[in-house]
Amino acid sequence: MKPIPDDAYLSCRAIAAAMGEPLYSLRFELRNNGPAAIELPIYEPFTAFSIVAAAGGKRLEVHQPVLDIGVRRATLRLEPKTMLTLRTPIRLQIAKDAKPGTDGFVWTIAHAREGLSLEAKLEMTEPCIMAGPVVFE
Amino acid sequence: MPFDTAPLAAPGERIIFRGEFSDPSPANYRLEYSTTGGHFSSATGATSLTIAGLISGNVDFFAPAGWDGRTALSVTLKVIKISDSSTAFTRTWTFSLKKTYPTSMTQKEGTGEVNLPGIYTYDIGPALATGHKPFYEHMTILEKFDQGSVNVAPADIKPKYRTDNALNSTAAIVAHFNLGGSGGNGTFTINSNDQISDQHGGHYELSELVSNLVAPKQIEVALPQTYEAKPGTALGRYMITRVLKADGTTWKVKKGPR
Repeated sequence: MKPIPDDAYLSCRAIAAAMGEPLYSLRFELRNNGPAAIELPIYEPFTAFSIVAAAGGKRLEVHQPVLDIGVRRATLRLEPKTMLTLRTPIRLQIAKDAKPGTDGFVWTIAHAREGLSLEAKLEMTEPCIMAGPVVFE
Repeated sequence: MPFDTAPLAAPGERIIFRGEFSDPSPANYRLEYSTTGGHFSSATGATSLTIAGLISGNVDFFAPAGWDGRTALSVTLKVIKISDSSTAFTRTWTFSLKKTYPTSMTQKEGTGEVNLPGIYTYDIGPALATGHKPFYEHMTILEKFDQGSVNVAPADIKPKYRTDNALNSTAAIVAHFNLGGSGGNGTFTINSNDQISDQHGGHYELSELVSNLVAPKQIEVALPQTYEAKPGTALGRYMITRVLKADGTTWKVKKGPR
C-alpha cells in the first residue's frame, strides 16, 4: 500500500440524483489533484460516509435504519490529475412527511427538498476524511 | 452480490443474490434473473425471475438437493432496458461443488463497543494439511438471524404509554418498536485470505421509547446471528448488540460469540 499523500491533493464532490421522488441516489466524485497516484482502502459496497442535514439553521435527523451486510476490502486507485466516481447503494428519502422505514439502504430526512442543505462526510481510513456539500442534479 | 462470480456451493444450499443499480429513471428497466440447474424462491421454484426497476432486494436461489457438481449450475442477472429490450448489464455466477466444509470461524476484532458501523472480519478454518491458504476460497456462507430482544421491561415504560400500547411483556415491546431483526440475510463468499467481513450499521428508531421511559437507561437491542457453510450446520453463532446510551442519542455496536 502506498502512503496516502496530503489531503490537499484530494477533493470530493457528493452528488444526489433524483431517481423518482422522494428517492435520490448518491455518488461521490473523488479527484486527485496531486502529482502522484493515491490509493484509498475502502469496503464494498461503499457506505462509509455520513450525511448532515440542516434547514433554517437547524440540524435535522438523518434516520439510518439497521443495515447488516457482508462487505469486502477493495482499493481505489486514483492516478494523478484524474477523477473517480464512487457509488453507494444508500439512497436518500427526502420529503416533508417521509417516515423512517426499515430498509437499511434508505436513509430518511423528513423535510422538503426546498430549503434543505446536506453535507456529506466520507469516513475512509484516516487521514483521508473529506467533507463537502451535497449537490443535487 | 455475491461478490464472487465463481462460488462453491453445497447441494440444497440457499444462496442469496442482490442486485442494485442506479439511473434517473429506474422504471425504464427491469432485472432478469435466470438459472441453469437451480431454482429461485424455493427448492422447486421457477428458473427465471423478473423484477421491475433496478433494485432486486434479496433473491433466494437454491442449488438442487442432489447436486453432485457434475451438472452445470449458474445464475445470470441481466439489466434490461424496457423500451427496446436491450441488455444494459450482464453478470453470470458459475457454481462448483464444495468438497469440504470449514468448521470454525474466529472474529479478529474485540467484543467491546465501537462506533457505528462496526466492521468485523473472520478467519475461516481450520487450516488443512494440504498446504497453505486459501483452503476455503470461493465457498459460500449463509447468514441467518433469529428473533431479536431488548433489555427493556414493561416496568421501564411510563404507565400510560405502556397501557395504551399493551406493552405487557418484552416480546410486546420488541414487536411494538420493530426490534425483531434486520431482515437482511445475505450470502458471503470466502476470499483468498480465507476471510469474510461483515458490517453492522444503522440503528433502530427508538426516540418514542426513549421519551416514554420512566427513567433514562442504556438500551441494548440484541440480534442473534448464525453463519452456515454447510446447510443446517452452524459455523459460528454471534450476538450483534446495538447500544443506545442513556443520553438517548449516542449509538454503539458490539459483537461477540454467543
